[in-house]
Order: sequence, then structure tokens, then C-alpha cells
Amino acid sequence: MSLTMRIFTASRNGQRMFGTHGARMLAAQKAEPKDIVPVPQGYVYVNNKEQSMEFADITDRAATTMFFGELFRGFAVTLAHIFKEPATINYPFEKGPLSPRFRGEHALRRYPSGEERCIACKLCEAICPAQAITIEAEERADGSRRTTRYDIDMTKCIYCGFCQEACPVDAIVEGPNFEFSTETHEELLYNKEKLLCNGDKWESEIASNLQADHLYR
Amino acid sequence: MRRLVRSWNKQLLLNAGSEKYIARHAGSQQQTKTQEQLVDAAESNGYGAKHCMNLVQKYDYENYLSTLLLPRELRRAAFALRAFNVEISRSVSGESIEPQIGKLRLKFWYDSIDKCFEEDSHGSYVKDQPVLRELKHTVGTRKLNKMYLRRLVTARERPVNKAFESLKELEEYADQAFSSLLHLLVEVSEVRDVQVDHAASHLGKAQGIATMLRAVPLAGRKQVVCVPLEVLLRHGVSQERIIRSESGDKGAEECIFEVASAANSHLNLARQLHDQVPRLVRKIFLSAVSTEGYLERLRRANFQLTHKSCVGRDSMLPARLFWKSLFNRF
Repeated sequence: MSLTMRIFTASRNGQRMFGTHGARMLAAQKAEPKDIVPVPQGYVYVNNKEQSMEFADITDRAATTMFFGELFRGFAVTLAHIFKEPATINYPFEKGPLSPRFRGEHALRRYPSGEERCIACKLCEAICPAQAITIEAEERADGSRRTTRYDIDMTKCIYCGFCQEACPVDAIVEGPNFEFSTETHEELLYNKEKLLCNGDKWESEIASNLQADHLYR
Repeated sequence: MRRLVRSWNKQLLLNAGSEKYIARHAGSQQQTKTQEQLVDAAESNGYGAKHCMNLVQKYDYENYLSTLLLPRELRRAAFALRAFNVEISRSVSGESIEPQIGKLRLKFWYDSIDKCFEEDSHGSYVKDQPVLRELKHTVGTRKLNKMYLRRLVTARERPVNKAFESLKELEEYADQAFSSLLHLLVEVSEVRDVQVDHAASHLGKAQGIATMLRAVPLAGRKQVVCVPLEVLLRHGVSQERIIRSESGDKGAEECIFEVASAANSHLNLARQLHDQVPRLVRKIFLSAVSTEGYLERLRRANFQLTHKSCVGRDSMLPARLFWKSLFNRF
């Protein structure tokens, strides 16, 4: 009787499965593995412990080895994972969730009337810690003062988002796009046209990320 | 109800440029638009008013509703002022604004007030920014006090993380930031009356305190809790408990009750002056309805700021506003 019991309760999983009083009795008999050297109080011994030489424990270990207990437990884990949802996504086709505050590629926005938002106040240029922004402005024929040059060196940019926070008219924003890798350095030196084009392309996403409901102060 | 308001809003739009915009944007994405913009600049002057309305609708919905009920001749100026207020308020309380950067933005708006008062705007950015353009138009057509406009900005220069020490300090802040706007709106209506100013001051305080209370669960730890330290100390409550505002937290309820009742008493003081206030100004003071609504909901929720009814929109507000404006009350 006791031998069959031992075989049944050979692996730890089995013990849990047949958690009868017999198994509990076995667990009670089982000696705690001892530390090889004496360990002063307050310390934890982390190396391999000395294995118990009780007959019951030796049989347990032998049974685990003979019945490939660990092997089957490994298979069970594998099998369980087949039914689980995968942790990975099929990247270029599926994309992970992005925070509305995500700071990706820059874009210059327009008002819905098509007018550029940027009024060349140069606050973003002043606040940029990496000095990646260069602005030149001059008066236009109609008297409005707009930027003639708005360059961002995307290889200098550290994506801190200060430009976006400093802009009083919400013109420069860091949009949700993070896929703008290029083959050459020159392609990452963005000019105004590229930035405005980004703005037109991503406007709906950017606008939905800048939501609020009522004044806080 | 909301749909009704929206369709009503569409009729009210001062300039209908939206169809044009959609058509243009659908086709031309990649082209350079410089040529187009020169043409735009001329026609976009009408767009400013629409932009101001959209801004107020998005960031200050309840006051948007009450402003819609103003008579047509006041509406454009009122939206310009409200949109300007939204821009300033957003400068210090938007998504993750660093205090130093907030100051930069405030300085920008402060400087642009002067630019709006300049006669010759050649070479300034005022006409490139719809809100400033509308503000300049308002300043040009009505007599506005520059001091009140400046006070809108200077009041918000108070650091976001600086706690209010006493109720009086909170009221003073509310007076500067919120009453100034009401004073400006009264000036737009060209009413000069001490009683009206008095009522505006009280109403602004009530609105300010209610707005700040309302912001507590939404702004969370980004800005300091508006309950004054004096009140917190008296009840032995931490700011954290106010932010969490759990149901059954007696101390927090007491604190919030004290602040809310200050707002309520100011609201009542403003209402006592109801009969001395001209009919036109009563329309401007309609925003009291939303403040009253919020304070009432807060009372029903047992002064628990995070209660569901206190955080969301009030769906009955448009109806109540309409009712009040029908009988010319506030």
C-alpha cells in the first residue's frame, strides 16, 4: 500500500493532486534539506543544500527521475501555453497601444481653416535643451509675420517634449508616429515643409490626443 | 438635448467656412500651400470667431452653453474673451506643464495683451493668431479695461504647487482669475454700475472656488489641492485625503463642505443683488447656473468630490440655462 502511495505521489504535482491524508503524512515525514555549512543567524544560505538521505526522499527522487516527472511537467507547461493568448504582436500589421502623451515625430499644425498655427514666437527654440530647433522669420507680403525657416535636427532632438509644452498656440507637437527611421542622416534634418506635411497627415490623431473637458484653474 | 444644442450652434456660427475646409483638406495634402495661404489670410478673419467658439466649447463647455444665450451683438466679443481666458488657463494647467514653461507661456499672453491694444499692428503676430485677432477686434470696438485683462494672466502666475493658506487667499485668487473675466464681459455690454461690479465680484468668487473644487479629482497630484491649509489644519486632514475623497471620510467631507459653503454664500450674495442688475447683464451672469448646479450636486453627493455625479457633465444644464434665460434670471 505504502509503495503504491509513494509512486502516485512521486512528483510534487501529483502530491497536490492526490492531497489525501496519506500524502500529508508523507510530507510531514519529509526532512527539511540542511545547509552544508553552519549559517549564522540572520543570514540566508543560497548555495545547493545537502540532500536528505531518508529512504522516503531517496525513493521520491528516484521515482521523479525514472518516470520523467520533470519532463512531463515541462510538456504540461508547453501545452498550457498553446491555449494562452500570445504575448507578442504581429508588428508591422498590428501595433501596441500608445499613450495619448506619447512623444514621437514632430509635426507643425494648422488651424482648421488651413492657416499655419506657428507665429514665430521662438519659445520652442529658446526652451529646446538640445538646441535642435532653428527658426527664421520675416514679414510676408500681407503683413503677417511667419517663419520662413523652421528646421528640426531630429538627430539632436532628445524628445523631451518641451517645445510642445512651451508653444502657446499648440503649433509644434510631438505626434504619435514613431516609424520614421531613415537610411541617411540628411533625411532626419526636417524642414518646415516636412513638418507641416506631418501635421496634415497626423492631424486627426493629434487633435484627439489633446482632449480636455473643463478648466482646472 | 446635446444634439439640439449642436444644431442650434451650427445656425449660430458666425462664419461657415467648414465645408470649404473639409473639401480642401480632402484633396490637397502634400502640396505646398503658400499661395493658398495668402488668399486664406484675407478670408480667415471670419474664422477667428469660429475658432474661439470651438475652443470654449472644447475646454469650457458649461460656460460655452451660457455664452450661446447672449444676444448676438455681444456673443462674438464674449467668445473672444472666454477663449482668451481658456488659453491662459491652459497655459498653466494643460497636460504635464512644467512650472517654468508655464511661466513662459503666460509671459507670451501678457505681452500679447499690449500688442492687442497697439494701434499699428504691422509686423506683430496678433493677426496671425485667431484668438488674439478676435481679442484685438473686441478691444478695438469696445472699451475694455487693460487692467482686468492683465489680471487674468497675473492671477495665474501663482505657482501651481503653492497651497492656499486661508479661505481669504483662495477667494482673492478666485476674484482675480474669475471675476476679472466677468468684469470684462460686463464692460463689453457697456453697463457701468457699482452694484453690477459688486455682483460680478461675488459671482466670480463663487465660480472660481467651484471650478477649483471640481478640478481636484481631475487634476489630481498635478496641482495643489484648493482647500486652504487653515481649513485642513483645523480638521486635521491631509491633502491626500481630499484628493482621494473617499465616501465616508468625515474629515474630508467637513473640509470640502467648508470651502463649498464659502462658494455658496458668495453665490447667494450675488443673487441678492439680482434686482439691481440690468436685464442684459443677467444674461452674462447666466454662468451662475452651472456653478449652482455643481454645488447642489456636491451637496447631494455628501461633499464627496470623486462622486460620479460631480465628475461628469450635467446633462440637464442646457435646459436649466434656457429656462433661466427665458425668464431673465441668473
